[in-house]
Amino acid sequence: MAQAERERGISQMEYYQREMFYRNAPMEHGPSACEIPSCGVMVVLHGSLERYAPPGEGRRVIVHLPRGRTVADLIDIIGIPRQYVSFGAVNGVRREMNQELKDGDEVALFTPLSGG
Amino acid sequence: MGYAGKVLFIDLTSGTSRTEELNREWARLYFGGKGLGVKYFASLTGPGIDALSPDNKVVLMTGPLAGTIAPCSGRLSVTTKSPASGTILECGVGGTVGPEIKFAGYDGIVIEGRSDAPVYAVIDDDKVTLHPAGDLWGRGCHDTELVLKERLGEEFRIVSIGQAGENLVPMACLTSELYRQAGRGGIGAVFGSKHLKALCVRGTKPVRVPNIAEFMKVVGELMREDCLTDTNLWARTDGTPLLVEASNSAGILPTRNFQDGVFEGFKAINSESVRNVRQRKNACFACTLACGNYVRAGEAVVEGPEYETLALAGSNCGISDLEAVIRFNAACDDLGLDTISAGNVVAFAMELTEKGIHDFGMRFGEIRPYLEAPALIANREGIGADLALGVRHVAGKYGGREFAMEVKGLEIPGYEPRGAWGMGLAYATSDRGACHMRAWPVADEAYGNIDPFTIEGKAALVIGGQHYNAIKFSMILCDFWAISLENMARVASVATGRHVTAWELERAGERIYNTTRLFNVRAGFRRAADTLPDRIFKEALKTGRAAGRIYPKGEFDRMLSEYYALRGWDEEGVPTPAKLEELEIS
Repeated sequence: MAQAERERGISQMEYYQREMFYRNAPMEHGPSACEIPSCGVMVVLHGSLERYAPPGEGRRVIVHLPRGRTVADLIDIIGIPRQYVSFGAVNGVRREMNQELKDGDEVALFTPLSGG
Repeated sequence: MGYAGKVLFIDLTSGTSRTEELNREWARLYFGGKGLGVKYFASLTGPGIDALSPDNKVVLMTGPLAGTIAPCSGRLSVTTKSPASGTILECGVGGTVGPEIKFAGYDGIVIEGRSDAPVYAVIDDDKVTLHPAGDLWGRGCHDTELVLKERLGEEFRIVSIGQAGENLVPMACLTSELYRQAGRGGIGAVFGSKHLKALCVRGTKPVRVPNIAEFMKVVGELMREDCLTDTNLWARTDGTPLLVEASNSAGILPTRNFQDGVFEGFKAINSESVRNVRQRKNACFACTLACGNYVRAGEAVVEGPEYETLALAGSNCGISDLEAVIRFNAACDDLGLDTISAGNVVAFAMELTEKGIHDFGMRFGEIRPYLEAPALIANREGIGADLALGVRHVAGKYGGREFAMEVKGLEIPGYEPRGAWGMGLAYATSDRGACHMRAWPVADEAYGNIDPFTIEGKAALVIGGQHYNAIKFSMILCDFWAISLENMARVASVATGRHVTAWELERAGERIYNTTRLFNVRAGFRRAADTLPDRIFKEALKTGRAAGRIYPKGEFDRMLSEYYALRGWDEEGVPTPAKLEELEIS
């Protein structure tokens, strides 16, 4: 199962890289950037989520997406299975998944955590 | 099967040792680790004993998985009576010493009495000897361990105390593998009171499981499908420092003696900063997660700092200098001090100073006095004479009771209860004072999807967590593997050779929790002790997700009553005879 998810992650990541290249959003996530101006957010992929970043990028990546997109949309665009994200923080404060993102936001994504 | 079948008793008063057959009935009911440890301890001692007298005992207990390749099973449970809280005290320590005790042929070790002069114990398979430790007395844990390894051999696994334990400081810990601690409640002071400087173990015996092929198959499956997944691998990529940013985002990072839940300097002490100074990772025996981080900052080297240290000795002291926190951590490890309690008492002294209540010569964010504190505390010198006795003592002597952040005399760990109400209940009802290891509802409240600002459903959530952790630490499995009870039952079955169900494990967890509660009730603890500091009930947090929040006392009281009712305890928190009978507790 983990293997299958890994494969899914990689294919999603390639998809996402292609999207990064064109600085455009895929059609299924909404209209393209030609119609709606895009915004750039800094995503910090904490813990093991860093493997969803493009190779060699580390855990901080810049993602461009159409205006009006939410934390949940961002997670889908990157291609992380939802159950592996426990919460997202925008500019250092935990926010709901339907929080709308603005140009220049920093979004930190965390996996489920245990222990302490 | 799964067990060595023997328990070693070391009597320090007479300098003799003996072995007893493992009590199989207790092993069936309590499994191992925490459960079996508290059962042995409660049966061998009385609740009224003085924690630092020869009457107190220390029970070191392994579990059926110790020494096997089951992941995250390389821990050791240590039980005694706490000199800090007066409750039963069970602590866990990682590294390799737990499995080594099993390899030496013992499920557990019971230490009794008191030696006239300082000694260290050497357990080399069946040969048990005590040796004068006069030359080691007064030396730190690091020195002690290195000297003993040189003297006895590199393969010996060692648990030792530093100056803090020798000086009976109620926040003294045990140290193993230089940087791993059985940290809380003054367990090191109990060793010190017995004049036991160190325990050195080497074992060469096998650990048997009923069917090795079946065991390997189940463990392999669980490792692939349940352990090495995104749910747990944060421990490998980051380890606990990841919680700094997570807690800060959720508004529950203790800041300046719990005056706030957000620290403006968190980026200096978060996981990214720790990773920048990380030299390599480290793992306990049989662990595939490897949460440990070896870091170097200037001259200071440490395995850590863990989240609790970054929170209590970092943000809670207003310190945003990672190198300073690492140096504080390294000093505490060597002196044998619990960084949670030490960080707390320093933060409390800083607030007392800033408020003009008593001048301890230290203010939030000031690095020099902060770094001088651990040695003063461990040696009980200067301001350390008071600080060594903990927050409750300092508040009693100088004032500030309403912001003395402790429960039952044990200082509060790194999760702010005003931003996670269930966590407040977990602290109040923990069996050893404020502890984050008995239940961890913040996973759902602060980092998950349960409303943190309600009492709805929290009593059941905390009870479930307490049972789960009690049995998990009895198996003994590490906190960082979020294993289900069903999978725990699978691995318990192949280790012990009898069919174990998830229900049976849950039930054992309840039995263990009631056993510790019964000890504490007999020691005099009742509802009045199951509470939180006034600051939590009366002062609102200033910043972040929980800004403007207090934790209403009325809500807390209602939740506590619900908790007792769900547990089958009376309104004073005493387990009813019917509940004890149902759980086969005598």
